[in-house]
Amino acid sequence: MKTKVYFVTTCLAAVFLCGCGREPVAQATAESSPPVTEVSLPAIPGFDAKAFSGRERAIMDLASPSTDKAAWESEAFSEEASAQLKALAKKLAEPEPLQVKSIAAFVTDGFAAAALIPEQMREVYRDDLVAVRRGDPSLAATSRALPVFQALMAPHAGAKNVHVTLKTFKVEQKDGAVFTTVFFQSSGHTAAGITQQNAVWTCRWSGESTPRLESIAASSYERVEPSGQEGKEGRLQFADATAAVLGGTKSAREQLAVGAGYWSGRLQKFYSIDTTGHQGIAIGDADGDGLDDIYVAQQGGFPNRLYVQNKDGTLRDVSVEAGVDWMELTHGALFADLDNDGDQDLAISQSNGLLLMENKGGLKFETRFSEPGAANYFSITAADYDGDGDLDLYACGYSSRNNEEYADGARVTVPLPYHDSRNGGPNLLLQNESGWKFSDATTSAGLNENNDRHSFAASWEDYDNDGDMDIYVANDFGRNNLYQNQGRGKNGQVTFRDVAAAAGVEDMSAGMGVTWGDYNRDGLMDFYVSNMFSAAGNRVAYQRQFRTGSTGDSLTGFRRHARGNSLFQNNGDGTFADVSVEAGVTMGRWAWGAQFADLNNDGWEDIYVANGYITGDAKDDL
Amino acid sequence: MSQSPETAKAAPAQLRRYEDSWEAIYNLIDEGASWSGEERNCTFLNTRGSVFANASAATGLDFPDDSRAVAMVDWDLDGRLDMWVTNRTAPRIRFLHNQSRSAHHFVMFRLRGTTANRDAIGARIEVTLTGGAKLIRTLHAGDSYLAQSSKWVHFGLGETAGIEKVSVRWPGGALESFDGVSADSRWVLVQGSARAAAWQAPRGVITPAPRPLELPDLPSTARTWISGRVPMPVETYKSWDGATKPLDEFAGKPVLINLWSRSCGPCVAELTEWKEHAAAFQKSGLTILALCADGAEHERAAKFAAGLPFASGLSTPEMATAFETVSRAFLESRRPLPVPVSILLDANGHTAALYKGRLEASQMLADVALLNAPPEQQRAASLPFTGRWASPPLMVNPRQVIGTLMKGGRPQEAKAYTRRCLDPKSQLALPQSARASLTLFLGDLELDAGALDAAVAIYDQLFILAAEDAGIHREAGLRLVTKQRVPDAIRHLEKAVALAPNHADSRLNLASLLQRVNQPDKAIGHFRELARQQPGSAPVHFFLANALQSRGFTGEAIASYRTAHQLKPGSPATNNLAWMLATSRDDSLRNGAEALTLAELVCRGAGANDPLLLNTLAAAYAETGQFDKAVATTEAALKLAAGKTEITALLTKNLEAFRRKAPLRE
Repeated sequence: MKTKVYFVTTCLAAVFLCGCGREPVAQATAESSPPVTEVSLPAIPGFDAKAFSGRERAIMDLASPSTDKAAWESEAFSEEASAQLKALAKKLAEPEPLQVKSIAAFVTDGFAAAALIPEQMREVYRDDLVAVRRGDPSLAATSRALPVFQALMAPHAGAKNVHVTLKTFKVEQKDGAVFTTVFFQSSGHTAAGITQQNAVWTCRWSGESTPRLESIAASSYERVEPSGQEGKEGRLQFADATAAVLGGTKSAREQLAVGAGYWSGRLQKFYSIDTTGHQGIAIGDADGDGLDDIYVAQQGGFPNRLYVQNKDGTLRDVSVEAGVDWMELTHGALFADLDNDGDQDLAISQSNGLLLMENKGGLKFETRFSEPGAANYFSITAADYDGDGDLDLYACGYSSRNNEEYADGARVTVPLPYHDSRNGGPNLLLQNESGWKFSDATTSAGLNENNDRHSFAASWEDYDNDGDMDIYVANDFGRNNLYQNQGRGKNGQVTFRDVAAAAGVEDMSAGMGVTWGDYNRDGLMDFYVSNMFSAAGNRVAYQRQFRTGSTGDSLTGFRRHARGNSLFQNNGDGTFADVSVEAGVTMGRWAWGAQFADLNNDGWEDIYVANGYITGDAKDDL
Repeated sequence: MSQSPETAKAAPAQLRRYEDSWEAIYNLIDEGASWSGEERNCTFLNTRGSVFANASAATGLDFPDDSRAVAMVDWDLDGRLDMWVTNRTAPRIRFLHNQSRSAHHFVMFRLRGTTANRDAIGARIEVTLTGGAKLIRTLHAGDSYLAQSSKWVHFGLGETAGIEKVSVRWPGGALESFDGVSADSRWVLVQGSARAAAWQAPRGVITPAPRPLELPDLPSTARTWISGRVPMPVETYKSWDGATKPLDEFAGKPVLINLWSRSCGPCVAELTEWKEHAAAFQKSGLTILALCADGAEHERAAKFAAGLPFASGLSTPEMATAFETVSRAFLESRRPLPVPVSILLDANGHTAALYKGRLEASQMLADVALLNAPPEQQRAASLPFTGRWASPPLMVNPRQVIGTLMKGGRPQEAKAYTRRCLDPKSQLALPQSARASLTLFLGDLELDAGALDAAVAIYDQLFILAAEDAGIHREAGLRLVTKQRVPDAIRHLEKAVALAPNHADSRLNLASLLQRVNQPDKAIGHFRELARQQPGSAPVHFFLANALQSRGFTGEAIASYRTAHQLKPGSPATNNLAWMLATSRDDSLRNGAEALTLAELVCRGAGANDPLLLNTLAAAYAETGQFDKAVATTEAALKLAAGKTEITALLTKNLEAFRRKAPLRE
């Protein structure tokens, strides 16, 4: 991780180019974007760019999964086994009927498995769109590979766009054999909608150099399928309709249709081009016509965009006229009526600080307040924490602009220690004093407690139902904060206390975002934290040799770090229960934004998780 | 990140290794590696309060993008939530339209505060359904990650359309019920009105066509206009006969250095096209230097080049390295450069642009015209889109080039390049601060090479170059300390302290060095000043006391030890205080009882295993007349000191004294 502004960071700072020679993306259920081509020309003859490096290259080789095999034995195995599973997944997804010979390369002669789809299933959900069935796979009669896989794919018979993924997340050695734990997911489209199967398998492998499956034992099975009849309308389905609403604007076609990585080989990095893509979006009614509009953040050197909705639902670009087409690296933005005059003002977090703009009417915005701040700010969130009738702002500081100096004078610019870092940038509470005066109330409100973490996002909520706003902060590399509003004290100040530990919600992992919702309809606000699920992290952290000499604490910390997303159920007594695993919502991959939303209007909050860190064009996944 | 230290207090070498591993990962990504790439977004369907179902593919929402922010909104006004998602990959934005057609009902609210904030952010809405089920939502402004959803608060109602009750708890706590709400509509709730008002939609429901943003065909060539130009990090090329030729023979006019290969079609096509524009280039003042990168097999290339109306010659490994250096210094991408590749140098020989792939003559001419444009205009021309800037254009900064050379294992080149940048002949408009920092770096290189006198001489230039920069003198001072050049270090640290009298670390370092070179009075002066600035710092008072004691100012030393002890009981100051109270020759200063209390405090914990701390305890016992205990304690200390000759001798001598029932005197 690097710290200069253009290097902002989590996982930050990186950059890459989509490039030529990229492996084709497997047929997606949802459409994927085609790779962007970098200069596809020969290298300078006789010049080995890779050799142009000192100890840097040696360190890179150490960090590379493909050369780090000796250090991570399980990673080496996982790579081999994953390659086999990937090929098997492709074979299963093919429309041609499976044959013994088409799967022979993946299974040993003695392969045997019980049915991967349970005979007995119970329906756990049904509405007029979708049905969910689950069952516990039987461990009884086993059969040979072909019938097992034929039965597994039978639910997709006649379907189009069949897609199978097998993702390894754990490697173990037991009784001289190697076992991997694998997520199985398949999907296929029929006229009635999309059927999806989910399962977790334990695979036992032969000890050959190209390992083959000796057996598969399924430990869970779930099927989500359309509940209606074929051809009948009524499916739970979303479609990308971006062009229909945004495609009329030149700026979207030119600027938003190009991935961030394309520019890393083209534009000077000092403009704070951000090829890690930490750019957000705000929805609000900028022109007061009753229809929502959007403000889109862009990387450094690219102008932020304000798109206003026309009567017909399409958007027009008013960024320049509105005076909001900022070129500085922007992370987040917020529409809120900061001066209580009935229109939507704008708050923006940028590489050069926090910017507040007043809506002057007629789609004109004017800068009224700016604050460089001590941190690189990410998410902004507003609430009236002190109950004085106007909105205050809380900005999340990720990296510090002024990192601590250590004994030898070195500035440590990376999160330290990784699993529980305390060298992040301070978050900022801006108290609204009306008249476009804002003051830093972080310390006077007690929000300086544990305010040294790498914060990505926060959300206000009255979790204890006492009528005032509390706030949960999601921090990368370690513990999160739950600041409980203590009300107004004798000195007239509203103060907070970090009660995350006591409430059981420190959630020690790589926190990226937080969303509140009463998912179980008990009248208490629960919340969901998006974290990093790293298959590699899981595989490595569970290996015996991982961090030999580590204390139990940091080892648990490292493992917890890669677990995935967390769901905390409000107990109603000031504490929360971590129900993530039993609720089946941990595996959100490398998650960023997650939102509670009732997607099918059944009165229950569903969850959508945006994920994926960096898709490069090389084979090795770090 | 298995290289991470367990705690923030780790050895510098371990920190370095950890930082290096971060950088290595990002370098690998800059070379094209994935890190949790091609992951599919997830949808978890709530199965009415129990285990969620994974419906990622079933909902059509499992995009493999590197997705980031998600914001919810009912865009088409059909009562179902649509969403906007931002991505790192193309397309950077998706509008995901909820196409579900279900019989489920909904209701939506827009709030307006009157005494509460006008947006009513923080308001909690509770909808009670027929049958008693209660649904709650809070109006948020900004949540999830870098996202803000619509301020329309949405409730799915399921199969029942019956709403029994709607109440709002406004920010501040006031509870209000609203009448007149029915399902499948949108309502405005104004604080204090007690009655919901139907929202008059400016339009009806729309049905956006399912069509993603079309991804454009992007040019595979790349032009990077460089603001903050620096000298080209190579000074020569080779003529066709292998003779070394200086690049500065082109000085005074812009030159485009082009690397090409005979076997590369686009290279030949590019040069062929340029031929037709030779006159235009000449008119613009541009020289083209076409350098063949084919090495020994350049015979056919020579023939081709002979027909070019341009200067030409051979590339060298140094030239290729210089191109790669410029690329790495200014771009995030670490993909190896292709051919053809060109760098445009201005009349001073500074890098103005890098071109990967085929370069059109028209672009080249436009860029030559841009060379002397004002900085704002150059910045605008270096980016594909225009907008509003709050910050000024970038400054010249050769540090990236130097850093690239260092990381590439070429310290000699880095050194030569730094000298060139500092040389007035380079015509580099370096700000004074950059000049000072480059000078410091040159000094560092000499220091690392063991040329200490040369390093000192270079650092001395900083007294003129950085006469007002405390930080840089502090850096120079600290570096010199590591090489034991203490008097030189003191000169820089004195300058640093004079420039920044309140920088505690500089003064502390300076005072400690002065103490080390037997200038205790000066040291005491600085320690006193530190104690004044930081009255609550135990170490400062402890150091002051040590210095005072070394000068024989015992009374004052005791006072300072006492302050340090009070600030941090049980610290070394406590031990030293106990020792002095037990052993001072000045009767008026000794206090055996207090010494014993303090020594016992120190030896209660880990001190019980330190022979020197036990020695203090023994002295305190002796001072209070408890010679048996003094003897026993010293014997215990002797066991712990086994093998340490000096300490053993000292303890043995003390033991004899205690056996004679004589207290110790210093």
